[in-house]
Order: sequence, then structure tokens, then C-alpha cells
Amino acid sequence: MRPVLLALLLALTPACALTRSTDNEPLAREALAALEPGKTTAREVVERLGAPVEVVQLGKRSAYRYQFSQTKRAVLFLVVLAFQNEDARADRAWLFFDEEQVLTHVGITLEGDEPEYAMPWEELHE
Amino acid sequence: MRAAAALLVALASSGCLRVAWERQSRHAPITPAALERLRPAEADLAACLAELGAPLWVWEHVEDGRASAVLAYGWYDQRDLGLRVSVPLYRALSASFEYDKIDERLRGAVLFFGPDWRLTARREGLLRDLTVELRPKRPQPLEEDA
Repeated sequence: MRPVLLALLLALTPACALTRSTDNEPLAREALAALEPGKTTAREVVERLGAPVEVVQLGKRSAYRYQFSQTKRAVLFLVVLAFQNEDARADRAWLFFDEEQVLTHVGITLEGDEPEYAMPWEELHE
Repeated sequence: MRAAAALLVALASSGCLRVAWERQSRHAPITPAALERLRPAEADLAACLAELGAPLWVWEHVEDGRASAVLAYGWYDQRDLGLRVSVPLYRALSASFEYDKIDERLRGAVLFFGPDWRLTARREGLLRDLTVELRPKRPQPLEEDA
């Protein structure tokens, strides 16, 4: 009977894991807020924010992408049953420059600190 | 005794058989109302960025022979219940079969701009389908002559 009890105990012992992964550093909100379309140059942007993760050429114009992303995973294993939730959010900024490399437009999304640990049946970001 | 045997089988198969309930979510969705406020020929790049935030991707787009841009926004939130069977072959290599696999395609919107940064068109749907002609093509390896 003991092996059966041991097997039952093993079967009912849950295995769970929480993991978090990030890519790049969170964007500096103050530095982004200080950017001035029509005045700030691409050189000044790089001096303040560092190297972008992507540069897109738009004819003679260009756009720089800065990004930080964070993913949170919660996993629960019960023998052959597995419950897993993965939630990813990002800080993202796209900076657009004209032919003279002067900033013209800024698009910012700051959600990198919002991913949540949860189970698949739970509601997120309410 | 049968219960114990069933339990042992379940335990023994846990390495290669899994019933999984999974959920994956990426990025916050854009509301239909926010998209509706951006009307082609009226909205400009500044209005779109203020309304929707930063896009996931920006690509070059040539309109009337002049370079401009396409902005792509996307997200998904997918729940899935599936059965996964893996058959170990040797060491780390295994053959996996995923039944009822999660469809992870991003839904989203693509905004087209003219050279004056005026919104010219807006498309919504599965991002992979919407952007197949827009994404930069990777260079293909040169084929050597035989």
C-alpha cells in the first residue's frame, strides 16, 4: 500500500514556476519627455538615449526605434496536466527625423512594466 | 489495484504526454473607436501617434514615386486547450506532434501615409496577411551556376 500512497502523493504534488525575461533596459521617460520635435537632432537623441535597436530609412528621412520588453510566465504542472500563462508588454518609442536629421514626430508606448503573472483562466490588465 | 496502475501509467507518461491549457498575450489591443477616429485624408502622423502610441513596425512605403511610411500595430490574446505528444528518439532529440496548435497570428492595423505624412489608407485584420507585400525582403543566397 505504501507505494500506492507514495505514487498518489507524487501525483498530487504540484510543480509550478514563475519566470520573467526582459530585453533591453526600460526606456528613460524623462529623456523621452525632453525631446522637442523641430529642435532635437538625431545626434542629440543618440547622446541622450543611446543607440536605437532599429533604424529605418524612409527615403531621405528616417525613423529610430527604442524598445524594452518584458515577459512574465506562470506555469503549473499536475502530472500530465499543464496550465501556462505568458504575458508580454513593451516600452516602445519611434522617433521620426526629416532630411536634416531633425526630430519631427515622436510615438511613445510605455507598457513594459505591465505584464502580469496569472493562470490562463484569470483576466489580465483589468 | 487498477487505480494504482492507472496512476503509474499517468506518471510514466508525463514526460511525453501533456494536456495543456495555455494562454499567451502580446501587447495591448487598440480599440476600434481609436481607429475610427483616424480618418484617411484627415488624420496625420502626429494624430495617429498621439491616438495609438508607438507602432510595432515602421517600413518604407513609396507612394506616387515618393518615399513615405507604413505603420503596423498588432496584438493578440489567445487561450488554447491542446494535447501534446512527444516521442523521445535519443538524447535531446524528440519527434513532437502538436494537435490543436495555438494560432499565434497577430491581429492589428496597418496605416499608410503619404509623403506629407497625411494618412492615406487604413487596413485591419491579421497582420501577417496585411503586411506580406510591405515587409522588407531578406536577401536571397546567390545560386551558383552548375
